[in-house]
Amino acid sequence: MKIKLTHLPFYNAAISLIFTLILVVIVFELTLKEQLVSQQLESETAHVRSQIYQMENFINNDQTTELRNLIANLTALPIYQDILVIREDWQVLGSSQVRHENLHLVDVTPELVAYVTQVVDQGFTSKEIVDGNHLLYRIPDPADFNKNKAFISVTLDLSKISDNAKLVLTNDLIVFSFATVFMALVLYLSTIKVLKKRLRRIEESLIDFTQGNRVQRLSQRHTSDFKNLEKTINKMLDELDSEQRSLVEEKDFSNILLNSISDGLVTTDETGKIIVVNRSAVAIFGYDYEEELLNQDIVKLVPSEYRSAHQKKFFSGHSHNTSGILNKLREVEGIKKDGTRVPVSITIVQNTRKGKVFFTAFINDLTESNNYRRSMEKIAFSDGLTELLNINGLKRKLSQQPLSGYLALIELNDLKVINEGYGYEFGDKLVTQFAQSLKEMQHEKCTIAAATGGRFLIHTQLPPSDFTSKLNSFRHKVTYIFDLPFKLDLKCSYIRLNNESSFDVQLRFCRIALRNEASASPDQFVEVDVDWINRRAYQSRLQQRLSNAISNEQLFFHFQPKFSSFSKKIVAAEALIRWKANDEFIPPAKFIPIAENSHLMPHIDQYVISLACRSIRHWLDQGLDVVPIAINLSSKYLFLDTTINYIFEKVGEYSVPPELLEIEVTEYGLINDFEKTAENMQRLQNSGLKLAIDDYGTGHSNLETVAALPIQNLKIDQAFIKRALGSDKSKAILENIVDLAHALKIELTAEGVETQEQFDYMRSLHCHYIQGYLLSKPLEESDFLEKLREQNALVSTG
Amino acid sequence: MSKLVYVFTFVAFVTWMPLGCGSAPPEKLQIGTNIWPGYEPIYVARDKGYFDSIHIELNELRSATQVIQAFTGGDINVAAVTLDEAIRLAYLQQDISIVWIFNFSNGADALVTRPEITELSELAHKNIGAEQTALGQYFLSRILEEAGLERKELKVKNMDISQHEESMLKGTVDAVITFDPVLRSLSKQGFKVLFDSSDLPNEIIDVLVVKNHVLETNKTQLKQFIQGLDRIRKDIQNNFETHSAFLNRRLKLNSNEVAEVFADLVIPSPQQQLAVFSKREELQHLFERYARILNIEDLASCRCEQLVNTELLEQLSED
Repeated sequence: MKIKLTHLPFYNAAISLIFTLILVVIVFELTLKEQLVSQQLESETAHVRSQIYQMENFINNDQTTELRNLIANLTALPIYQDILVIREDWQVLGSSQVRHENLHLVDVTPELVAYVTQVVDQGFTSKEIVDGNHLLYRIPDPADFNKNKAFISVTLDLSKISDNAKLVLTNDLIVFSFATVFMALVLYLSTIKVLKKRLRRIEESLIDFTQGNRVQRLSQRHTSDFKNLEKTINKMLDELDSEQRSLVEEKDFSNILLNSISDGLVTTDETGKIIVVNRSAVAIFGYDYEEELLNQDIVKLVPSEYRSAHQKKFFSGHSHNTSGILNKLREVEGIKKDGTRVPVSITIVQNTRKGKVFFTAFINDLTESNNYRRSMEKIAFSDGLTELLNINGLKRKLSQQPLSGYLALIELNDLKVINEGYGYEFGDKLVTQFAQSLKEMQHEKCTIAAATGGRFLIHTQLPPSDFTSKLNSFRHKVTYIFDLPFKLDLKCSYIRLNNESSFDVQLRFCRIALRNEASASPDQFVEVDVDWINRRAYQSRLQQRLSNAISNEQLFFHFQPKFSSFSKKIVAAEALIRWKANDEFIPPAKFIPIAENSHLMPHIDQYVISLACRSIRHWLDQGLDVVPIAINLSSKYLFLDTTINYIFEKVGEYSVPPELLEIEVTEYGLINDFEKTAENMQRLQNSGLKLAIDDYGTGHSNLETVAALPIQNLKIDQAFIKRALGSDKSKAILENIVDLAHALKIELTAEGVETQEQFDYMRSLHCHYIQGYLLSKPLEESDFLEKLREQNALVSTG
Repeated sequence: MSKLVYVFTFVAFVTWMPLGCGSAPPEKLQIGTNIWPGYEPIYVARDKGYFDSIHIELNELRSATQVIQAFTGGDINVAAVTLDEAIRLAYLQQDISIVWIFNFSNGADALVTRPEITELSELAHKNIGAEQTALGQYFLSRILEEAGLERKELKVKNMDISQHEESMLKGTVDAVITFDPVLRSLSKQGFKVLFDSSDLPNEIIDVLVVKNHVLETNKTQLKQFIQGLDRIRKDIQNNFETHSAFLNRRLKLNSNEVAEVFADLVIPSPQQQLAVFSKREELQHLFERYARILNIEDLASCRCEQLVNTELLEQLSED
């Protein structure tokens, strides 16, 4: 490797630099020329001027000889082209040409006469005028020169100055350029010398390094211009060195890795010859040394029935038909050294190195994991106690085909009692023995599975009559456990399996049926009623929605006015709770029972109390002539202080005048704690609230009981009225009650009055208030208020 | 590397070229003379346009001193001088050659005295004005020789030619060693010529000297200049009358004096000049006499072989 410096980039740079320098000098000199010319002109003019003063002096002192000598001397100087001293009478006193002296100027240069005349005529008073190369000087007041004035005319050859400047500049330029070129050459050659020396050193070191002297580095000189280059090269050499070292380490490491991984690893070339094998692979295939497998054909490890396919896929000529095999975890069998087979999982990857194809197989011995899997399966899919299938096991079995036949859920009665009374070992024993009994059924198209808590599942294709009779045969059988006799009993629910619902859902149906119905059934055997379960589910969902509706205040009132039986005026109204969910109107008959069967009723009561108080307050604030509003509360909760306190709290919160809120007690027949309820009702009454008994005549309570409660109003149910109009006996009872109420000063309200007959009848009985479709159906709030306003308007105008 | 050498050669050539070209143009002939009848033909030739085809500059100086100063100062490179001045210039390291003889003084240089002085010997203890030129001194030494006087017996006053007439008229000196036109002017006013150059034949010579490098670089123009001189010489010899007024333009003599003045001069032809130059021994002897007057000890500078260049004269005589 010979470094050729003309190829180095700085060569061109140096040449460019030299030319640039020369160019710069030329430009500089050219600009300098102008300056030089003007400077020289300046100094020459100054010189001329001083000479003119000298001449002026000689003229004034009448020193003609000296004047002429001076002119002669000056004429020899290059810049003076012509000098003329002219007296006022136009006689030439002195001239650069001797022959002109004492002549009349007209005979010398007539043009000058004309020029001087012209200048004088123009009032030439200044001492000099310069006109091109011509300088005319006037001696304004000659002291002693025949009292005449004189002119000095000097013609200068300015081209001499320019030539002179040019010459100076040219010489400058030459010297400068030569010096520049010379310096550049010297600099260039010396740089090359230094550069070559340093580069040769670097070159030698690099050659040394490439020949194997790995510790070879360039000596770094801090003063050297190459220190950065040397540093970089050294860094590069360090990196090369460390790369080399890490390659060796990597190889060692991969060997260690190869032999330390538990996976077996076998690499073959494209002919199927094993070229790499690790210890794990050797162990998996039952060999002792890697050498036993190295350079062997891989087919040695492949079972005979797969060999031809294997060869075809991997090693048939140049085309490797390996699609669908590479990079996939597969479970196959391999042949061990002793000829036995070993289950393995295998992943084959293909890679190409230096144009050659290699296959590497990662192999895992599955013998252990297969065993483990089997034991896991046992745990997962069978019942440890009875060794029957568990639910998952059954599910797995049934998942193979569409669901059909029957699924029966069986529960041992009294197992809980036995467990608690005798201990779990007794219970377990009982379960085990029953399981043994059940196993008798297995051969009759039945699959038996054990569930937790003494429950069993039977899947069968037999009709229910068959398997129920079989099950019945187990019942009431005495069985001995640890020599103690136990009478075995069971209950069962079963379902005809279909494919509309999942197995889990249908099993759940069985569980629900077993829990809710089987116990109620006389023989404790029940077939699942899917409709009933669906209804239950609907109610559960509805209950959930109702709970949300209460929280979100989606319940509202319709108001059914109560009219005076005499004036037919609205005197009060009953607030009836309504629920509209997503445009679906859900009647109270549907949701109130749900509320009552759950924990929601007290919440509805509170909601009703709060909403009624808020509405009354709202109307009052609007200036309405508000009539008493009745709300329905279940007597079931009236004995609770919390309910009463809540009423007081809301009445207080909304400042509701107590006479405007009436509480109608429903389900008075269900009053448990009569005294407490009565006490609470008394508290309400004491505070000014009105209390009424709703739906009187539907329950079984007698009037005495009811009348014992502190009430002001009794609402007689529609059915009662209808009955009274239908039979004399009923009429007598009703009229009796009416009389009693009158006697007790309890006001009466007829509910559900739909016909004029009913109205007339109740009115005849002096029933105070009439409520019903005849006079008004329950109204939406706006309609109700509208009606109230109309009535008030009539009153005020009437 | 070879490419590099080419580049530098080129650069050197380009940068040195102006210098080479600068030395090439011939140096302009800058000719200086004082006012002397022997030199006037130059101006007549100029006025007649004989030098129009060549590029010359004529500097009309007033005295020999001015000419020497201009020559040594470099303002002129060709000068019309007396032989002694030529020798002095040669001695002053001026690398020069004598190429032309204008004239031999045949009475044009003279000692003019007040009328009452009739003999040279009467000059003793008198004031004598003379130019501080070699010619003045040479003339003086020759006068002393003729008069048999010692130098110290005279009171020699240095004065420029321009002062000669005035000094004589004012009486500040008793005699002056002068030359035309002052000579003519003084003699007209009654002063007496006691000794003149006709007494020293071929000793008082006016020559044209030229700096050697001009001779080398501008031989062509110099030759043309000398051809012009020869041409006007012939013109004047052939018809003096028609040229008399021209010759007097600078001298400003009365017209009848012009002929007299020129009668005091011998204007040699080129052949005559070559004849003078060929008498090397005599010439060398003359040179050395001047040199002695000039106190020049190193006579090597005034060797004929070096000082006289007859090449142009030879060419002229051949044409």
